[in-house]
Amino acid sequence: MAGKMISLATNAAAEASRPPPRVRPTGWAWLLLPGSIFLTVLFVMPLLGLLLLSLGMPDWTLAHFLRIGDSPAYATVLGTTLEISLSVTALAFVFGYPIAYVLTTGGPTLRTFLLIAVVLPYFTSVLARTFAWIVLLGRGGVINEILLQLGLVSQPVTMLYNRVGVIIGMTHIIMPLMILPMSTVMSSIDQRLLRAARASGASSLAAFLTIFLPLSLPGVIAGVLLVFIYCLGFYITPALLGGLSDLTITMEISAQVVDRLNWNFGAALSMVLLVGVLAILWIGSRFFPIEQLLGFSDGKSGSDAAPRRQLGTRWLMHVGSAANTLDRWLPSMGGRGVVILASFLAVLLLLPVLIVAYLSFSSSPYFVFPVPGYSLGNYQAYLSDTLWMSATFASIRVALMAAGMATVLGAMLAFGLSRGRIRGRSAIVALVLSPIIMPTVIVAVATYFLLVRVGLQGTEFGLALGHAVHAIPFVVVIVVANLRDLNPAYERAARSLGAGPLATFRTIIAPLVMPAFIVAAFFAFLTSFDDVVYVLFLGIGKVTTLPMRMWEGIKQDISPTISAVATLQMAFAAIVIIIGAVLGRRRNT
Amino acid sequence: MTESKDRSFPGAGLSRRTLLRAATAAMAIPAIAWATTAFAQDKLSGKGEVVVYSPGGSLTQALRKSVFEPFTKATGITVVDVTADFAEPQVKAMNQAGRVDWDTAFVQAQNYPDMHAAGMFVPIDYSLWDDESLKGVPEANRLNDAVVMYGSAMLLAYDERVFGANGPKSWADFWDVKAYPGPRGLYAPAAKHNLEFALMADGVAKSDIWPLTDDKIDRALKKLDEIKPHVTKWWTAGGEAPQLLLNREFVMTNAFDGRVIAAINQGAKIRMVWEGAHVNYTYWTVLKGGPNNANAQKLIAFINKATIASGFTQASGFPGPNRNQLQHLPSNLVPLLSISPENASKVVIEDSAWLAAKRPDGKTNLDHIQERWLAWRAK
Repeated sequence: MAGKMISLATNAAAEASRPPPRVRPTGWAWLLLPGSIFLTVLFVMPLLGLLLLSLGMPDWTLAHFLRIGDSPAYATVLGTTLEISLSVTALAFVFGYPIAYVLTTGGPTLRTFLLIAVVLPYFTSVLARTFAWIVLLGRGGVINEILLQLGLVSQPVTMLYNRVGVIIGMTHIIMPLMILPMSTVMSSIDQRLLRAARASGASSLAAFLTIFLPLSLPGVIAGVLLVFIYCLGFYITPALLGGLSDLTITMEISAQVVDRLNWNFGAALSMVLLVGVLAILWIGSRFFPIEQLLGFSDGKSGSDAAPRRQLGTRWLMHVGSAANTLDRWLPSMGGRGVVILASFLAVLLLLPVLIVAYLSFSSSPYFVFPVPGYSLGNYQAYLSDTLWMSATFASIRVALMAAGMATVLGAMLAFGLSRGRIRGRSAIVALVLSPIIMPTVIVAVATYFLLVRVGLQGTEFGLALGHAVHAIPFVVVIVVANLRDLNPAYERAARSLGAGPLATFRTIIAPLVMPAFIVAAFFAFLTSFDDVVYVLFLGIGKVTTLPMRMWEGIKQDISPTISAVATLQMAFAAIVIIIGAVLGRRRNT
Repeated sequence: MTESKDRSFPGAGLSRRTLLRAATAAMAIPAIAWATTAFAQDKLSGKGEVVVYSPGGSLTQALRKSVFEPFTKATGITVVDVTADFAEPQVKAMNQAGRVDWDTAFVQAQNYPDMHAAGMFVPIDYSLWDDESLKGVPEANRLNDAVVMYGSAMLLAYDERVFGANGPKSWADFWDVKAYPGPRGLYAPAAKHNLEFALMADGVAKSDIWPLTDDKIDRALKKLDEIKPHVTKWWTAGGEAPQLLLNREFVMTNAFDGRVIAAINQGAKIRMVWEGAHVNYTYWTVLKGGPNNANAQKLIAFINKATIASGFTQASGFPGPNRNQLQHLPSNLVPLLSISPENASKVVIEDSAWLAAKRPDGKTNLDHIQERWLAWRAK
């Protein structure tokens, strides 16, 4: 995405040489204002403070940056972090694409099932989930038992506490982040195009490769981008499922800030991470025209884009004819192969979830599998504890506030970015993405110093402000990916028929972009609902949220109460999805 | 309870002794709470509130039940408790921002010297303490502006189902994979425990471990290379060690004493080995600029009474420093505690001052050993 910096820079240079600037900001550009101000005040200003901190303010020094170079360990850890993130992103894409495809094209029941399978893992508490993985993949786990029984192996295979464990564990929970942006874009693809291709003699594979796949690319890019960046911030799952050397840079930054109070050095490491990731995205955009795919290409670089598009078309022709040839040799799967594959993957995603639900009914005070007896003790412990209850309601209130702010501001930013035609858009995109690239622990410290000046520390609203900054990137990327195919001609038609801007938004834009808004708001809600870091600093112990309570349980206790909390959360999420599906069907019929 | 305290309540002497004996015998927390309520000292009574940090989870629950509730009953001071994973970063942030919202916080010994030097704490008011408390808490645990809250031990724990009573007895045994076969666990995030244990396994005397100079670090890392292939899981969160022992993911591990005691209390077949256990302190501090410093001083005086300390120890598994509490504790709990005289003679107490000391290159010794550890882990 940062690649636009370069393409824009070259554009700017080209424009400078041309006397009349061709591109003028449109009225949409005004929508960039509120979100930009919000992010400037709540993110850029604290971040600048942080930069000063990494430079040793008030005793200016580069020592903290030089120290990173002194020990090769930091570079190794940064490399490990990137390796893990890339592996998880690739795996999530490979598994996610077929699920997203079926999620878009399948029947309502299948879609509801897939949606539940994709979303629920996110709600399992990290410790309960880790234990579920031990049940499945451990030395004496179910899978090793099966392999041994079948005689496929003679020794248990080590699948946990190494890189494999980290990748499986992380992929499992980031699936919604990959799948939902893809499926919102896929659902806007006109299926008649595929039928037209088939009618013109393309095999189903060729029609898929030349029509569906290219049209779904904005969603793919959005999903890949979000998953990759999100993975950089993981530190609990790698610690619980990984081996000794599966260190992530976020673990180290967090230790520097929280355990050793070396804020200058932690800030320096974060700066290196931010610059490194923006550089990677920039290099990546030289190979994948991210900015075009995300819908930022509105005529700004016609001279550059035209040959590229021609080249792309020629490629697609080759792919199509190759696929047609291939299809003749392959046994036809019909459409069913993909459905079976997606359903199988969904069941895999649900396995650990079901184990967590099963464990929640255990009568044992630990996580034991199989459970020695059934009991509702864990549910009683949760529901009868006022502390658990007040934490639950605090979490919901904070998440609703954060999701509300992030969705409104993020959606405005998205419209402004894709239609505002302003210069320096790349800077705004980098600004928007940076909050999720920076490790939350460092942003949280910086935000605390801002909030304390206005007396918002230790309030739910203050915490929601911090969460909103973190949620805006998700909203922007998801909405932008969906705006690409929103034809402005519809709106012009509405306006010419006398509809005001508000009426146009309500009757034309909102219904078309609604699925993206819902998914974006959902992620905004989740990023807030899942946070254990911002609350540490911004809540100053006075705001206790549900994940914080659950994390306490993990740090100190081995009580399976958290599995009951997780199961109730999952049941709630599943009910919401089912109600949504039923209402949606009723509206359609 | 001491003579001086008896004298301050002349009329209540006899019944108090009877009651105390009952409380000692019953060892029930309500009884202790009741007893302390009955004999609240004027010195500690007050009004208003006190904002007290604790780390949440079962430790906070134990504090509420065995300390905060009796404290409010005895003194009339309301406890507003705030919970967060760690205290030090918030204390530092509040201090820098010039707005301190808490009255007390726990501070780990390795973080204490820097924060002390930055003037974040006010002196502890020992004039509020009973003679009994002052005698029971060793002088070394009573600093000018901090007092030990508990000593946390990292010790060897093993699966009784595997070894019975004849498991490993020292860190040398932990390294002896022939005599004591089976997968092991070790704590991943911190270097200090692992370096200590490796040195002991390599024959270094306990008294020679600190300071952890570079030659000793080299020697320890070499020894750790030996055990590395036998460690299935380098764990991170305190609850993981006993949980993974129970799940048979490993047969022995290092573990925090409080977590093992909690598991044993719930019936887990785990044994503790105190030989060569690492002990470091967590301090109570009163935060400079906090809203109710006077009440915080009273709370700290209150928790260091032997009866209150014993209630907290039973509820949490974390023993406060008052040795007089041993006579109030059930006899089956005492052998599990780092403050029992027998265990206390076997442990190694970390040199926190050395860890916090600055090196010529500006890093602290702790930074240095962590960087060596990181490099060893990452390779």
